[in-house]
Amino acid sequence: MNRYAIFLGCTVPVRAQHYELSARNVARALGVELVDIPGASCCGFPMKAVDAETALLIAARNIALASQMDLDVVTLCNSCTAMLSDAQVQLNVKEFRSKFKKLGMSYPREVKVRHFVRMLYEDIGIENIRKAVKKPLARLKIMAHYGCHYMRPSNLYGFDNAEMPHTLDELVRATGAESLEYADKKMCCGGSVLGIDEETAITMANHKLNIAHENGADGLVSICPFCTVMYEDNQRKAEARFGRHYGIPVLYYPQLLGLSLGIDGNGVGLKFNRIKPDAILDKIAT
Amino acid sequence: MRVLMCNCHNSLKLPKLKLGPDVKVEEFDDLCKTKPEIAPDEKVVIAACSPNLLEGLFPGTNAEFVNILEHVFLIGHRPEKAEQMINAAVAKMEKTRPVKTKFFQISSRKALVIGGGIAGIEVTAQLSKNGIETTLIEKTPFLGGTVAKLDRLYPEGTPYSHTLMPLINTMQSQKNAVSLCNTEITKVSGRVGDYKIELVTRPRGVQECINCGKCIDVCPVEIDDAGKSRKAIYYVPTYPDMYAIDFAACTRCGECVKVCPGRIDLNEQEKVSEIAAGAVIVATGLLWYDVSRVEEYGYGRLDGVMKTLEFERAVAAGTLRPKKVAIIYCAGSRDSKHLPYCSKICCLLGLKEAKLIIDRYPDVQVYVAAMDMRSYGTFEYLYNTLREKGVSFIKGKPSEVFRWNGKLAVRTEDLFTNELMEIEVDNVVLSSGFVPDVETFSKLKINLTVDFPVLYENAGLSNTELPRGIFTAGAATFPGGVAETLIDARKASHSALSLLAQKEIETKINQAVVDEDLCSVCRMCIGTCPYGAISVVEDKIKINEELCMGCGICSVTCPAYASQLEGWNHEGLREQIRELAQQGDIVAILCRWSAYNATERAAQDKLGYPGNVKIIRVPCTGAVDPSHIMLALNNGAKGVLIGGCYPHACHYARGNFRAKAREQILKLNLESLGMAGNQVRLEWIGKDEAHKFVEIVQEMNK
Amino acid sequence: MIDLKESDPQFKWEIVKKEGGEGLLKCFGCSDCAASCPVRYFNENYNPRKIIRLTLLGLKDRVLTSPFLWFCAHCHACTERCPQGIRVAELINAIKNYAVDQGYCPEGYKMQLDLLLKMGRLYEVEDFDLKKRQRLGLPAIDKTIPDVARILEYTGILKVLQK
Ligand SMILES: Cc1cc2nc3c(=O)[nH]c(=O)nc-3n(C[C@H](O)[C@H](O)[C@H](O)COP(=O)(O)OP(=O)(O)OC[C@H]3O[C@@H](n4cnc5c(N)ncnc54)[C@H](O)[C@@H]3O)c2cc1C
Repeated sequence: MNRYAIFLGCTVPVRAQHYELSARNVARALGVELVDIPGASCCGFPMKAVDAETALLIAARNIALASQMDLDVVTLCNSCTAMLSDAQVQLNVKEFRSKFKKLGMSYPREVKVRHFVRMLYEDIGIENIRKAVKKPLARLKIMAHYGCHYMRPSNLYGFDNAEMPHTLDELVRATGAESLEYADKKMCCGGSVLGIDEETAITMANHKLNIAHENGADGLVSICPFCTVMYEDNQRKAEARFGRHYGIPVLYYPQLLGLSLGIDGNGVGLKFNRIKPDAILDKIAT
Repeated sequence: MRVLMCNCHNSLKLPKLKLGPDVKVEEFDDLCKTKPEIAPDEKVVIAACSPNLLEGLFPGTNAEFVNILEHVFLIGHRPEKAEQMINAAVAKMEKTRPVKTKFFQISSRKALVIGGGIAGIEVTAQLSKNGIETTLIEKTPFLGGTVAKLDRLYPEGTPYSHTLMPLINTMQSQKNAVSLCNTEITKVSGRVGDYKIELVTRPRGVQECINCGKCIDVCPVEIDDAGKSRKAIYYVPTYPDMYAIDFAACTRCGECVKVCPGRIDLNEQEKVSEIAAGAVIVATGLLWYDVSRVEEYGYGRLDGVMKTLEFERAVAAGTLRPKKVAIIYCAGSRDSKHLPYCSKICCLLGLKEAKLIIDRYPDVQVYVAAMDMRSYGTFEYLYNTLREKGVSFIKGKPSEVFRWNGKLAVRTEDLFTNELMEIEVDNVVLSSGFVPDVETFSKLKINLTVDFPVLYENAGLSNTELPRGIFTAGAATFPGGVAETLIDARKASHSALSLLAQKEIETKINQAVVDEDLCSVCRMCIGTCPYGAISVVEDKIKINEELCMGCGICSVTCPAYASQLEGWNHEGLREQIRELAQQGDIVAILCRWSAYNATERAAQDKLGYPGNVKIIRVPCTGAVDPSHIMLALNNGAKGVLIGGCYPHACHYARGNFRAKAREQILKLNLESLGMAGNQVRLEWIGKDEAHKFVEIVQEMNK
Repeated sequence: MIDLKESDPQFKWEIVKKEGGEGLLKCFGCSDCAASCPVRYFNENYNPRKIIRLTLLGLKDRVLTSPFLWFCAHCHACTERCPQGIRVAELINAIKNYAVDQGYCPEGYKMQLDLLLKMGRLYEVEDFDLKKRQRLGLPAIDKTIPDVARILEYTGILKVLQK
């Protein structure tokens, strides 16, 4: 059985419990054990712009905890993945390592850091997921949104294809749903700019919502709580700002996958989705 | 042994030397002008100025050069240092093996030219005109190369045939010229003046042909040949004047055989033949970088994105009639992920395609997106003309090509206005770069370790230090337009002619020599040689004189010190170090092609460094044995600096990488012996980096 | 107009020394970063190339006081495309770090720093959240992680809060 340490970060356990819940239930259904990391903190990413070293040390502490548990790490948030991966690289640099040690921390073995979704793709595999699907979500038209730090920077991850990402599309298709091909797939949600300039951030989010709308997508699939904040929580604002009506549900990938694995709406926390995915449920039911 | 000292017009106060009775000392006012006779097998120490100058003035002498000018007097060090340096050189010379003169017979006065583009055709014409029996081989069924695929040649804008056909004609009229199409080299043996080359000629299928073209009408296979469609049986109007079958596409249905009034043999076999040649000219031409790897530009993924050649051919064929075209420059060039260098002609190819289409369809809107425009020579006029014809030049590197609602578009920033721009077009033309023909060069035992330009020295192709009898011509040397290609071809022809005009050539390059008594044939040296110059012949290690460039890497790899470099054998070097390295010194063992030059410049630019820095000149950092370093440290030196070429600039292709690997091992050894690993430093110091050299030795002196 | 009298020739070298800043001098101004930038796509006031250019010219005050420096979403679209292999997003981040060090830290970041100092996380975990988690069968989480404060003290970043 595959065992991983699960790193939750700040947002997921408090603001996106449905993401966490669905991920845990999907993991269970696929025979994956997720072990919590006692003492895990913020990944450090919010401090990167202020002082990269501080951010890296906070991140390093988190993977050190997993290392002490002798487990590889999976994360639910793109930014956490990037930050922890950065730290993992730094832990091989002499000067950084010595600062890390000065803080009394230890890193007994090198651990892998991956996004939960990447782990599904690499360790479970499309074929096995397809086999586990009990209720294929045929007729659903989904637009997969990767977010930035899932495959970029490519020299950090060496995973998927930074120019033409495809793994999430494959995973969406594995559930039986259609994954739309669309322009500007790699477009950023705008989340990082939200605190600096809301106008720009909302415009960025609107871009993809508009594409989803024009393409007749039943829903957007996200794998990062930041992206969901932009596309779901701020959808109203985008609608108001641009005088449109979208009403596009935003599901976390494990929610979508969970539904196809036969987990019910409660098991994937659908009631916490701010934009109710009723239309999706109807389509699945019929 | 003689010591020849120069006082440089009485400007240097030369030391009084106390040397043994068998060493004669002579003093000169201007050694560079006097040029005393030195016998071929005589050992001398020349204490004067730069060895890089004197080596050229005294070619082929067994001399150890001591640069007392730049390492002592100009830099303000004490004259005793000069004496010590000369003593060390004498000690080294006593233990140094003289360099043997190598002779190569030019036994074959014939030449082989690989590649039947304009370069190969011109070389063949020139050589055969001058009485050299020349064989030209071309791997495709027709001569003409890239030019035969083009529509017109710019800057003149004339049809390609006006340039190509006269060249072919001139060559064909020479009785000494033979051309073989469908032919490639398979095996090469021998040496300069005496090569044996095995050729394979692949079937053409068509054996007798009256050019009626009936076969084309019946052939059911249609393929795309760089933008133009053709059948599996086809004709290119150059030479030979007969059709050919593209067997990679042919289904062997036999329809053509049925209608052919001549003769077609679908079961023709390959023919293997062997020829002798004294010189080989590589003219294999332009080889494209695979631009589909520049994924953001969508070649091979998005319809309507094409290469320059495909665009030119499709427009010429009349199958492409765009209204709007964007030409993207540097597609994958000057890019650390793709080709780090500039291929020089892509800028002009882009201009050319713009002109070509505008000349044909004046209403086309052309956008050229280029981060830089490098329109050298007459191509600047073409650039001027195109602006006046209304082409929009956009400064900036496009970020991507994409399809949006079915429309093809280029996204870029326009640096003139500082604004983002999306250009909707019918076609995107990628002007991408070229790569060297590694495959052919490696068949000729030439290891191209860097990309374009094909560096003569690194590849051992300079034909000066060690004549290989292998020359490059045309785009195989470096991409160029037709005019440059032809000039380069003529230069290559004349180099080959001058080689073939001699009966015998000689060289006094230092090479590795194996002491058979010490060699246990462990073969460790074989893999480390950058030139593939070491082989086992009759159970003995053999250094091939025609390939060894004298880097000395093998002499350090050899665990038994059986392999040694002429002029730089270990015993000699050890003596030199023993004499030179004193308590508290910094011993700088420097590559003669780079770091050593930096020390001379330090003197010329009056950059001072302490007198305890002792400089030893070696052919390559790869030839520095850890025992030399240990010896210097045991003698009391407080540090050893090994200075060599930057990673991709090694004169011997990869000696500096070897040095790097050894440095790490050595540091670990030192640390385990309780010495400080940082006493030994390996640094890349370019020829002109005097400041860097001085900073490093000053740091080490602290 | 650019006034080079204001130029600080040391500025670029200081950025080069910082983690992420090492590629600065390689920039040859092709503008692929700007053309790839999603933020710039929607707000042309932001331009990574311009920040890099001003930095190279030593116009320190203009760079550090520019509100647009903080617009970079750190999405790495530019990093992927830069033909010179510059990690552009990391470079911009290095300049941000430098700006903070020089006393230019946006208020939002100060607030986040304060939260991390107090709790080790960005969002307060209230009893309500813990109950909700329990109801959903999710494991309990720590309300505060004091180790983070230790790191913040160690790196000296807290001086940002005093200014
Ligand atoms: C799209 C395009 C447009 C151009 N337009 C112009 C223009 O307008 N004006 C201008 O001045 N220049 C132009 N050029 C450049 C011009 O084509 C070159 O200068 C010229 O082709 C170089 O000639 P070459 O003989 O060195 O190489 P090539 O023409 O490339 O010929 C090389 C030949 O060697 C053969 N060959 C390769 N490998 C082997 C092998 N292993 N064994 C045997 N044979 C081999 C090839 O099949 C080919 O026939 C253009 C180039 C391109 C690509």
